Amino acid sequence: MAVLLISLSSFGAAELLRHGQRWCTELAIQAGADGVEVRGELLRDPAAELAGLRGRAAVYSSPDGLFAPGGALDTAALDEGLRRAALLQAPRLKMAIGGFDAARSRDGLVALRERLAAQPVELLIENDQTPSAGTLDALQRFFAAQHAAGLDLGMTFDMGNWHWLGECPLEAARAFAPQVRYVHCKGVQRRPDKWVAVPLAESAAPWRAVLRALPAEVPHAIEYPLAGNDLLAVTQAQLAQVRSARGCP
Amino acid sequence: MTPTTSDTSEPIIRLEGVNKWYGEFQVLTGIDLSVRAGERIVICGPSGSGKSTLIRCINRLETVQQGRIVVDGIELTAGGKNVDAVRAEVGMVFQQFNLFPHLTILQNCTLAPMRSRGMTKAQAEEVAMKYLTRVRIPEQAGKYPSQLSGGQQQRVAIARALCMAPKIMLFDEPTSALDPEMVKEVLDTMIGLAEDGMTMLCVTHEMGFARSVADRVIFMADGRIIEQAPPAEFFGNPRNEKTRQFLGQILSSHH
Repeated sequence: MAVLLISLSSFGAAELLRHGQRWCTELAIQAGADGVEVRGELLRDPAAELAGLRGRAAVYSSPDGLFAPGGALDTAALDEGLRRAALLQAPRLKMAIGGFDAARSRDGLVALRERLAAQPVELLIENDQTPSAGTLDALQRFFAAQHAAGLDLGMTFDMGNWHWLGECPLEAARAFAPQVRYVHCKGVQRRPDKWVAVPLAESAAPWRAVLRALPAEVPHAIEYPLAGNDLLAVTQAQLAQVRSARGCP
Repeated sequence: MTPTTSDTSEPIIRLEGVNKWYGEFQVLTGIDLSVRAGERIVICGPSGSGKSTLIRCINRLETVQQGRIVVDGIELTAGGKNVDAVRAEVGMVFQQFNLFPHLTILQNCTLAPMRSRGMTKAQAEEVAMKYLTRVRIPEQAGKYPSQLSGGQQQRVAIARALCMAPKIMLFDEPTSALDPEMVKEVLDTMIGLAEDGMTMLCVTHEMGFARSVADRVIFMADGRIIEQAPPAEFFGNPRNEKTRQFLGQILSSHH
């Protein structure tokens, strides 16, 4: 396992907004993470925060969908995501497919290929928690279409999000393993009223089997709540847990 | 445990005919409320219903134009002369913690006891460590608020209030600025206080807390107390349509 990151949302939205992403980044690095995933939706002062995080982020996560409702490529969202990733000097931009539609998004995929060819940031597509951008069918249609359009996009495989949509994460892992270039480690539990993200060791899902089905050499990130009286110790313990699960010392 | 006055002892908090305006807007209308010592009250209601204003009147963070407020025998509406006396008896915890950022956790807790209670530094620190231990963060005493999580800061805020040995604790949405993972640690601290017999008024939408801890749940809307009842009755058989609507919304939003 080459790189272990922390998605900064793991520290909690309220905490991230209170402390700022730089504070949380420093804690993550101090705990032993190799880098962080910066969250676009949780920036208080994007210009200042992005400048302060330059060189620390391995991934910029855009809150916007790559395609607008209706299927058109959201060029504004894409350009802003690429601009922010470049500002951070982050090698990867993570987005969900949004309103991608196999029939109506063909021109958008061509435009996407041209836009991506002209810049160095790698776009990774994440399975989110929405039916249009998070089910097995939706993502299989997207990856087939992007391949047909001459693209070779990688996937951010979120281990937990499948549960929100009633999908089988193991089936998804086997289906998408060749595309996976980044893994969001996330355990899940079913509360009476909703799914919640939890550490892997507390997960009700077959997380070890899912991890085994995914490539080990791609970057992994913790994306589940990190909280406790000694946050540094909690973070260190969770990093060790993921490393151990991946057979790393 | 009912809101009726079967208990003949003098209430520790009494509001009679309280009316308050912000300019032309009436934020509290005809508030009558009696609270017995040791009673735990949860106040809920939609945004803008006057619930935060109501509890802020109890320690005179807000003044009222009409009506009478008596706290632990101290008349609050008799000009400003009793304010310090009441605030010494009433602790308050805010949504945004309101700790002094330039002071350590220990200094945040010792400031008021040294200034208002005349404690020496050593006495104040002993008391502070006692309450920081009680809220389970004595090891954070030397840190600054910005180094703590929201849940930890709120527990410090509770400890700071307890250092003044208040008879009454007011909580104004103490968990609403926290991530879900941190709500429980604050609620657990509050439950501990309730079990020790503290008189508590808590504005919150944590209905699980209301069910399990409150003696009485008060629902406010449009500046009025619309309904009040013990939790089993309040949640099981709300009488007012506005209460039913509110509970329907809030319970579904938590599902």
